[in-house]
Amino acid sequence: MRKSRVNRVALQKASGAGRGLWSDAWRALKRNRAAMSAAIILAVVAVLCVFGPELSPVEFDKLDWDYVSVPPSFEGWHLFGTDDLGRDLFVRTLVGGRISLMVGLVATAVSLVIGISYGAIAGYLGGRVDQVMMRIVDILYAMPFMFLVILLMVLFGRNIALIFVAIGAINWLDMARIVRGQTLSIKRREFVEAAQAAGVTTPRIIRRHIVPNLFGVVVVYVTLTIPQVILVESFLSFLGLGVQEPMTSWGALVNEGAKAMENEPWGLIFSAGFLAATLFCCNFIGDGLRDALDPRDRSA
Amino acid sequence: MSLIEVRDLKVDFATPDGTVHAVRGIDFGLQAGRTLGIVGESGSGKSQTVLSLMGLLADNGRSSGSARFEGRELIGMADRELRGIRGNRIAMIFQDPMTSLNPYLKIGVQMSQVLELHEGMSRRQALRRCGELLEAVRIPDAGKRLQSWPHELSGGMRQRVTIATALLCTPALLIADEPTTALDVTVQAQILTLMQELRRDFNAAIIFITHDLGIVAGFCDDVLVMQDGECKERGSVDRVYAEPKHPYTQRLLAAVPRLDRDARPRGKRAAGAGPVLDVEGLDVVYSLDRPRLFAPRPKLQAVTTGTFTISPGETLGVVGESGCGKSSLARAVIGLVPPSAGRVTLLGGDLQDAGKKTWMAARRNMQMIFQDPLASLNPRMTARQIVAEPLGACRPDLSRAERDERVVRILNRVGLTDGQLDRYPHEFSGGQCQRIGIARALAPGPAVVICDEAVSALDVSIRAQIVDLLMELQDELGLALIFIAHDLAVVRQISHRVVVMYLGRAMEVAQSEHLYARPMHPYTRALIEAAPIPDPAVERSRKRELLEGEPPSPLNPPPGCAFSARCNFAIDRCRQETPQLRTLAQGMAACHRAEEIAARRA
Repeated sequence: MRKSRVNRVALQKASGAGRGLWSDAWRALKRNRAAMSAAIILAVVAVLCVFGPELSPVEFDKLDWDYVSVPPSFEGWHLFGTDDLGRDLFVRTLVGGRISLMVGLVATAVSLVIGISYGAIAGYLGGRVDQVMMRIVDILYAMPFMFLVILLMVLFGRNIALIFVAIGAINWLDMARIVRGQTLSIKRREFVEAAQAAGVTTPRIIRRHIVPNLFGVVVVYVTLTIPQVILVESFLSFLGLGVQEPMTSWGALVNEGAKAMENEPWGLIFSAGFLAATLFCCNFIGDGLRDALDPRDRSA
Repeated sequence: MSLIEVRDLKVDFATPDGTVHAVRGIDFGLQAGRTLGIVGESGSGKSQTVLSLMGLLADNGRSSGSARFEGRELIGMADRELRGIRGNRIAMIFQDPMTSLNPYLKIGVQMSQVLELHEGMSRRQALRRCGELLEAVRIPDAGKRLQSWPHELSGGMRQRVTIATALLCTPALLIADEPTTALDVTVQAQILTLMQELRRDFNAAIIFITHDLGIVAGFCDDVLVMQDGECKERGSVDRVYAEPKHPYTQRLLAAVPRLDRDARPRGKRAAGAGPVLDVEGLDVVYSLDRPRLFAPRPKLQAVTTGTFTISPGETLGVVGESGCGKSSLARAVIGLVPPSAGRVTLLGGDLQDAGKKTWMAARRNMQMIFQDPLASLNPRMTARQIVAEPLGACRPDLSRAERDERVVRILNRVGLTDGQLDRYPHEFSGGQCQRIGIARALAPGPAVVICDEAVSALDVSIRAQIVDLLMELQDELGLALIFIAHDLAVVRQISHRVVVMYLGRAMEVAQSEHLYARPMHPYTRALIEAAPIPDPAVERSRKRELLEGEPPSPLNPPPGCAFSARCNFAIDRCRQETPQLRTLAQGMAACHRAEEIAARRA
């Protein structure tokens, strides 16, 4: 045992001195073609969604009665065609992408902040505090999420901010569980004990020693949470509980497109294509990151 | 005619950073019935050498050269053919018996598989043969053990099982890769004696890989010293140990502390000064998880009445096998685990009912150095940040500039250059990491430093440097050191006084020179006898009274003296009445027959 630890150090040294943990992971990620292509596609989608609508000659909510339900064509720059109100679907897809990606990022960020602090505190303090905190998580898990959302919508009206809150409110539960588990293993490492022996205060140990070492796991989990959140938002929009017209999101567009799928398939194909491509990309990047950050794979 | 003849063996690994030459041309030959020791520090390529012989290199590894075994060339042999040789003609014993046994298979099943595969035996025949071999490796109740799971056996027993498994097909060559490194010194002595007997009975050749020069001296006929994948010296153990030719071998031998040599700890004990730390009647009890709902929590008594004092400039060594409570004692003293009874007095201040403030002050005066150099440093902090942290925590009286200045000074003092201060732990070697650990402990200016196995994970030559550094710093700063280790020779090198612990109790406390020359407690005696000495002549002339068995579980200690079950001197009284630590002429011992035993040695 004593020996094998040192051997590992020696191995790390032998495989290249002076290399950061992150640069190591970055190299591994660069070798992963699926993940790198996914990252490039995702970047293109994101850039399109952010800048596309500004550059387009048409507005996303402008009704154009001369072009109702036309298929994709260069005439009038309706690249993805128009819907039954004559709105340009290209711009609407990109604007919808803004909302979907934003929900994905903001709700994930919310769950990240709550989940990490909650999980790290529960895991580090342990004992009874941990028991109580994790039972609260269990109870929240048991809440029927859809009812919660419908209730919120009925009480406060349809509001994009509410969607963030609702999605964030369930997603941090997963994050908290994962972070707690990871914290339990980190707090048994010697450097945490060393900090305790040196008289470092508990909040500081959590901030400086626990949380930075959680990043590997958390980063992977985030890339898997973003598509999950986008999907939940799409689902809510599909049910008619999501964003308010004329604003739209990928889920809402898919919903509208699906209704007229037989006569106007372009209404469904493009928005669904963007949604699917984004989800695929996030998942591929997540897988790539997980492999890249897995220390067992490092020697290869 | 050699059994195995290795010529110009090379092993290369393809890594993303280019080719790593792990082994750069090794030659050796070995005859039946003889033992070759391969020694070297970590990363010297000793394990890769034998793995390449077995065709067990990692996927990115490649071997070249020649290795003829019983007239057949092993290097480049097809995997199918090699499989017929592995486990059959060449068998291997690994370091960690727990990981080399499959936890989901009963002992009998995993052993008999080998025979069914190589010898085509029926399950019934195979099991009978397995039973015989378990008896050969002196496992009591061998028949019953075939039905056991690996986790039901102790570490020593598990290693016996792996040895028995290796011997199943009566191999011509046995390769043992650090087979005793994970074991305690008394168990190590048992396993080595067993292997010696088996070598005679089975007439097998053995390649013994180890980092411990002491074991090679007592166990091997020839020795091959490796460094950076090259053979530095090869020859009979007597020749190499008596007159090493290569400077690396000379350095290595000079760096090994010897149990049978006088050592002079460098720290000067302050005359007349009172004790800096006074520990009295310390108990550490852990509550374990409930076995069933509402069942009472089982109690594990890790330390019973730990009592000692230490003066400025003094080193107190604490030795014992794993699980003897030496680390728990240290952690209780420094407040990492709450003691359930007893009193700790640091610089005259009682820490027992101390509030947060007193503890903060105490932490400034008492610091700790940990075992694993890399794991004890936060991988996301630089050396500078690591050392600055305890300063920020327990020296709020210093200004930021003063702190920064102090951090740099201490890091320079332990041997790091200015250019290295902003590097991360994984960019340092094990020895450098431990230097950072020492700097962190010294930063707040403590009076007492606890070293918990601080040098155990380091290679021999690095270990010597770190021990030297600790002694220098102790001398400079007048530190009181509590030096916890399982290696008696290192403890002798650095300690003024030594406490020997067994199952949570102090068995003997004495001045270092008395303890090693004239042990009063039978357990101390056994420890000293079991420790190998890096000198073939001395090793051959030593007579050993080996301890039987392994330390009992602290969950149900035996009645009376904790050591009575394994003690060669035990009498009925020992099994009924727990001996207390008594003051004797040469120190203190907890044994009913201490006077007798001390006299016997003299």
